[in-house]
This record gives sequence, structure tokens and C-alpha cells, in this order.
Amino acid sequence: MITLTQCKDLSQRIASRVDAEQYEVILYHTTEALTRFANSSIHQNVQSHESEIQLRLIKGLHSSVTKTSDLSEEGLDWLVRHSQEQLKNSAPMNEPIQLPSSGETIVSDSPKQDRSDAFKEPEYRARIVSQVCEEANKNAVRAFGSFSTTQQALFVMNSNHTVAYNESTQAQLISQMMQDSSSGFAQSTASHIQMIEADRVKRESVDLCLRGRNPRDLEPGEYEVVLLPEAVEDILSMIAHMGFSTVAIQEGRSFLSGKQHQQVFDQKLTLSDFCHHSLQADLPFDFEGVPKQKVEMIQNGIFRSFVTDSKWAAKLQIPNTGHALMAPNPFGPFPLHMVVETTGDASLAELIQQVKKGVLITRFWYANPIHPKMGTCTGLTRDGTFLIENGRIAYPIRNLRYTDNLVDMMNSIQVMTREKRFYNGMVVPAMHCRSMRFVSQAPQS
Amino acid sequence: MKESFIQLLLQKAKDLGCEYADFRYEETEQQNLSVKNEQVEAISNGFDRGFGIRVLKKGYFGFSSSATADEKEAITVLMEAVRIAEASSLIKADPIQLAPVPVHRDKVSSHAIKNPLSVPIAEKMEYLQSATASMKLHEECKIRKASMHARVQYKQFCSTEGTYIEQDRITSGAGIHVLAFGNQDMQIRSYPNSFGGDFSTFGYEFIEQMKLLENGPIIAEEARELVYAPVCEAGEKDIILDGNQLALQVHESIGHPTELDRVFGYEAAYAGTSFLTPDKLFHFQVGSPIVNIVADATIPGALGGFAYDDEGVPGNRVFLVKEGLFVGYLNSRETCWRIGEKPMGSMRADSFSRIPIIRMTSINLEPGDKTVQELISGIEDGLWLSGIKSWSIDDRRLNFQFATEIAREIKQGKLGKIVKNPTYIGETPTFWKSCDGIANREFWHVWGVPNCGKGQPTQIMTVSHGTAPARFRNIKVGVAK
Repeated sequence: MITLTQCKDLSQRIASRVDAEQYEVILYHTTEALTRFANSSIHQNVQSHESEIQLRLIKGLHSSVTKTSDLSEEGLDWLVRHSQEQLKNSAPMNEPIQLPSSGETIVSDSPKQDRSDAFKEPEYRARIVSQVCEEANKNAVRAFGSFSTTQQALFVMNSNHTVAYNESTQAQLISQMMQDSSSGFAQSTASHIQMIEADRVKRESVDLCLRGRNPRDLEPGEYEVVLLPEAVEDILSMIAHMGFSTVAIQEGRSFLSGKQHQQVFDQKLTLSDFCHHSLQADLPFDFEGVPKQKVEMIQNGIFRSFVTDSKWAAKLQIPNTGHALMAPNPFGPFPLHMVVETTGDASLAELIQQVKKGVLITRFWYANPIHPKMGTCTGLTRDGTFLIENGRIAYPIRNLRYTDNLVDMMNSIQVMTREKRFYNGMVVPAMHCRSMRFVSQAPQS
Repeated sequence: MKESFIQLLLQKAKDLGCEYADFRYEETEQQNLSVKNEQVEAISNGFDRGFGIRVLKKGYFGFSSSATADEKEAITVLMEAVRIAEASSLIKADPIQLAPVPVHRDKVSSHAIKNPLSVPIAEKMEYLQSATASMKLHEECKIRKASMHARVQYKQFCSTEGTYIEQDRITSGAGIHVLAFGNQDMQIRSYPNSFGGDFSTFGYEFIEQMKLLENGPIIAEEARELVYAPVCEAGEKDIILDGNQLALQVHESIGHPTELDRVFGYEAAYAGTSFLTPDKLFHFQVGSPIVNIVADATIPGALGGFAYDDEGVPGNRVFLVKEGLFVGYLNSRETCWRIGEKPMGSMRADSFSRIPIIRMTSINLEPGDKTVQELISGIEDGLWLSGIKSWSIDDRRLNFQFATEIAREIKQGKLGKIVKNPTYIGETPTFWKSCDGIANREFWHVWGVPNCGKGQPTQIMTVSHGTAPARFRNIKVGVAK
């Protein structure tokens, strides 16, 4: 892992060669290891070490962004030479850029870093995968999935005295159990490898697979739904994708455009971007080195606020919340650490008990927006879909395709669970919604 | 890196007990430009280099890679790859076997005429600015964008079997789109295709021939018209898919399910499996008799084309579907022998840091014998659909739903008014069996797709699809609320 001292040294060597009014250096290092298994054996086992350094130069209305993975002296020469050439030849922008000045050096000392030997060992990953595969064999199903670890370091420095450095780690175990007519899915994601809940993951994925055997038909239509946390993440990430980009909101492309301080979702939904939540991956600053603020985007269903970066904060004359992505960034600032803040008061069993006739959904697959301004989206259920009748799981059903307005769907929230999980960068509970529209069934093979 | 060092490194792999190893070094320089409403939106340049080492030890693969491309690091990475392969053997499984392939020694040049990175940025930006200005026709056309992509890559491949290949490859692409606002709605039109336009392994000459400025006003007019157009009604209709949308249909419903790694479950927990199981090979009618689909890596300029894949296997042309019958898979050295086939060359990695996996090459629907006018005149009540907007398909690639940017009604064999928010839905074999007309070679074009996602860690691959507009009967349309 690249250290703060190495980052400072590299950035100083670049800064000494630069001729610009403002500059920004971003250094990024990732070591990623992944053990992938199929048919209850390992079929892919890989590791990579990747580094990248990005230089942004600004002079008047001209700017350039250049990056390289080559951290050698030759690579740095190429980086500075190309940046300067590009700066000289680029057409002017219509607005000036002022890089942020945080006035402090942020060096993250987050406890969410796993420095254990196990985190780096392919043998440890193989042993956990072996346990998952043994569970599959015991239950006469086949195990598929992956066990991955990621170590990352991010460093940002600019000519306006901003310096920020963070190291983080993350491990993830995904298990999908399959047999001829069904599959079951479970996952666990944590900063420390020892916190991975391998026993729960293998037990839940086997259980869903066994319960899902011989699925029956269900007539497409509108049903109540109980979404497991991973399914809630799938829905909320689509909503975020369609609506939470600040640029999209400002340009009128989002379903949130023109609706600030209005009731958009059910009042039971409170949604923040909060990187310091105990379950979140801790990245305390953005890609401009600005400290991340907690932003309550949805409060009791009302669209309260949106995230900003230096450009949009200046443009709209509001505070910078520290949500810049890497420049150049036509997408604009975006929330990457979403948390459903609502504290539910039910267990999953209690959610199911409230449903007269509905569908229990483990997760979704291949969701894609159809009309982002309206909030319309399509996708399918996957790895465990069940009919609920009179408060009990009645029988497994075939996968269903939904085509629905997800804003409407999030206006029909009934109850959420106390327990929340971290999945794909979001902290989410399970959720009971009054209505979801299914338009077709996936066919049998 | 020096071939002599790579040979020494691979010998070391053998000394460490590996029955096979390969080494891949890549250098990639790329540039992305975008303009929004005649103003610079983004300019970025990048240069990456690094290497990956794949070893097979006692029947188990291990792979490691690094962006630090020096000899000391290469030894460290080799040792990591060997350790990873040894760790894989902790779970006993049938050992991996690689199908034999001929040894190649070759150096392949790009067939691009004009290196897109050599064209001055100012010239390219001016072109893109003019392209967005060409769409500034109506008050409704509020967001107008143009973008351009250029990539120059050098790749070196060496294996313990004696293959040594160097390849140069250039990629060029560009496109425009416009968002129109009005009538409490927002509509998009793109040219020549959605999501960045069209891409090829030709040089800047490919972009110069795109006619962005001539087509800007056309899509601006259509976008404005769309916001005021009626919504596509639900029903069952005959449809004609334009070439750009048909490319995506081929991609999702034929390309992915013919990937043999998916069939064997290697992608099951992530991208899914396939309905085209080996028992169906040569026994399953997946389309009507006029449907012929090939995997062809040999077409000059095709984004999915190449001379050699990342296992050193030459690019090939093979049938996947012949006269509607399912007859072939995309395969690898590891998977092909299990179904009695030879490697056909489809293993690619999206960077030095990733292991090669089975990827589409150029998956092409062969042209038919009709003109587009003949396709239209054979429809009493139908829709012509164009421009990719939204796509979704189940994890076995059977149940799909697509939305396009625009549709035009077809009534009594004639194109009629524009309708908006069109969608269509279907099941793969039923859909392809309903194909009763494909336009001829005059209307055929190879569409470059730069963003095919697959694998873990996710790899984004460049592929392509040759298509001409085609007609499908009795398709369910208008399912979105």
C-alpha cells in the first residue's frame, strides 16, 4: 500500500515541474484479491496491484486532466508534459474553476482497516470458500460465488493547501446456492475479514435454495412485496441513479427536479449520505480532498437537500458538502455512502406476517431505468422469490419482471426492519411495500 | 518488456512446477473529449501500463498483476500467482486442462490510417462544438452533447508453449445526443447510436465519415417532436428493429447465452447462466430459418475484431446460429474440449490487471434479402423502433424487455407518426422464431459497443455487432406504465 509519505513525495515531484495557476494531484492505489467459485470448486483466483496518479491543471478558463498508472520518473515526465500540452491547446470553458481550500490536512485514522495477515492470504479465502462448498455438498446443492478483499489508499493534494489521505479495507463473501429448479443468495460485506458472517451466508443461501425448489407460476399484476435488504439496495440504487445526481436535478432530468421541500416519498423514508455510519465504508473526504458532510437528502419522505462539490457549491451559492467525484466529472457530485436512517421496529418475520397476499424478494437483477424523469424502471427478481399468503411463506414462485414507477413504489412503504445490512455501498433494512407492478414471468428452461 | 526477460520469467514458472504460464504486457494511451451546449465539458488523457501473469499448477489457475512494470516486480508477481494457484488446490476439483493450440510468432499492426491521438485537440473540439451547435434548433433542445474517444494500445503476449505475439490496436469513436424538454416531459435522441455513438478499430477517418453535423438537426427535430408525441400504446404488433437496436438484441439474447463459461456456471453468481445448455447444441431451433448469426473477429474495423485473443488463439469466423439452429459457442482453451470443440479465440481481458475470460467478438446477424421498404410494406399495423434506451434480460437470457428512443407507427405498409416511450418484451427463442425478414447488405452495418460488462472484478469489453434492420411478428409492445 502506498504510504502518506510516498504520496507527498510523488506529488511534490510533480508540483515542482508544473506551470499553472492551480493544480490538483490525486493518487490512488488498490490491491484487490478475489477467489471465485462455481460448481463447488474454485475456478478463478486472482490478485492485482494498481496505482494511478491524476494531475489537473488550471490556468484562466483553461484546464486539463491527465492520468497514468506509471509512477516511474519517466511516467511522471509523461504526465506533466501531456498535462501542460493539453492545457495549452484546450478550448476555454465558460466558467472558472476554483479548487477548494480545506485549510487542514486530513489524515484518516479510521479503525475500519484490516491489517491482519488473513486479509491478504489466498489460503484464508480458500478455507472460507471450502466451508461454503462443504455446506453445499451436505445439502446436495452446488455452490457459486466469490470471496474478495480490497485494500485502497486515496491521496488528494492541491495548490490551495488541501492535503488528504485515507486507507481502507473491505472484504465480501457472496454465496449463491443452486440446484435444478432453484437458487438462493446471501452476502456479507465488512471492513475486517474476521467480521464476514460466513456461517450466516452459507446457511441463508442454502435455505433459500432448498425452499425455492419447484417454483410455481404467479399471474403478473400488482402485489404487496417484502424486500430483503439486498433487494432494497437494488431499488434505492436505481432511484439514486435516476434522481440523486445534483446535475440531473438542476438540469430538470431528475424526478426530484423542482421538488425541493416537497413530499416525494412515503414519510417513513429518511435517507442520508453519511460515510461515518458504523456500517458504512469510511471515506472521510471526496475526490477534491473536501471533508464529507452528512447530507439528509430525504427527511420523512420530503426532498430536503442534495450533495455538492466545489463547482456546484459555487454555482448555487450553497455550502460544499464534499461529494466530488474524480475530475473531469460531467456526472457531477453524487452520494456514494447512502444510509436508510429510518429505524424500523419489526423483524423480517413480522414483516411477512403483515402480508395477506404478496411476494417475498431476495434480490433483483438487471434493473435499468426506462424514463428517469418519471422514475420508471424495469428488472427481475432472482435467487429466491416466494408467494406470501396470510402472513406465511406459501410456496416458491418463478422469477418475475417488474416494470414500475419506483417513486410510486417508495410511496407505499409499510414497515421496515430494525436490522440493517451493508451492501454495495448502502446501509439498508428489509422493507414491506404495499404495491409493486409485475408485468411477466421468467420462463422455465 | 524485453522478450528475453519474459522467457526467463516463464522458465521460472516451469521451474516452480507450473505446467503452463502466460505473460501479458499492455500499454494503453487514451483520450476522452466531450462538449455540452458548445462549451468544453471534459477533456482527459490517460496512459496505463502493466503486466499480468497467469499460471496453471497441478490443474489450478492463479493470476496476479502489477502496474509496476519492472523485472523485480515481475518475479514478485509470478510468486504471488503461483501461491494463489496452490491455494486454489485446497478445494479438490477436476484439474483444468487446456486444449492444444498451434504455436504462433507474430507482430500485428493496426489497420488504422490516421492515429486519432495525433489529430490536434483543438481540431477535434471544434468539430464537437459544431456538432452540438447543429442541434440548437428549438427552444426545447436544452441539452446538446457530443463526445469523442481515442485509444492506442500495444499488447505483448508470451506463453510457456512458445507463442510470442505483439499487437497494435487503435480504437476511435464519437457520437452526439440531444435532450428535449417540454410538455412536462423529457426525451432523448442520439446519433449514430446511444451511449457515446459508434466505435471501430479504424482511425480518425472513421470519425470523419460519421456526418455528425448533417445528422444533428435531424435528431434535434425528432427529440422536439417526441416530447409532444402520443405515448406508445400497449398491444401486440409487428415490429421492425433498426440496426442499432437489433445490435443490442443480438448482444443480450444471443451473444451472452453462447458464452461457454456462463453455460458451465462460471458467471452464475454474478452475470448469470444460459438457456443454451450443451444438450441443445445442434438440436435446438433458436430462430427462424432466415436467422444466421456468426462470431467473426476477422472483419476489418470491427470493434470486436482482433488478430489474436489473450490466449494467443487467432481470431476466427464461426457460426453460432445457422438457419435458426443453435450450432456453436464462444469458447476458451479451458472450456472447448468439454464439448468436443476446438478453441475459436474469444478469450480477452480488458486490461493487464485482469484475467482473460470468454467475451463476444463481433457477433453478427447475417444480412437478408429485403430492402427496408419491403420490410415496411409487409406490415399492416406495426412499429418501427430505433435508438437504444433501456435494456434488461433475465439471468438465463430468456425474458427480455427493451425500450427505444423513438418509434414510428406503420399503417398499411407505410411509416406514420412518431410515438414516444416505446417498449417491447419477449422470450428469446419465440422472438427470434418470429423473424420473417432481414434487410440486405446495403443496410448492414457493424456497430461498435464499447461497454459490455462481465466478470468479477467487472471487466468492460469492446465488442461489435453487424446488423441490418429486421422484422418480427406479433410482439408485445408498450408495457411501461
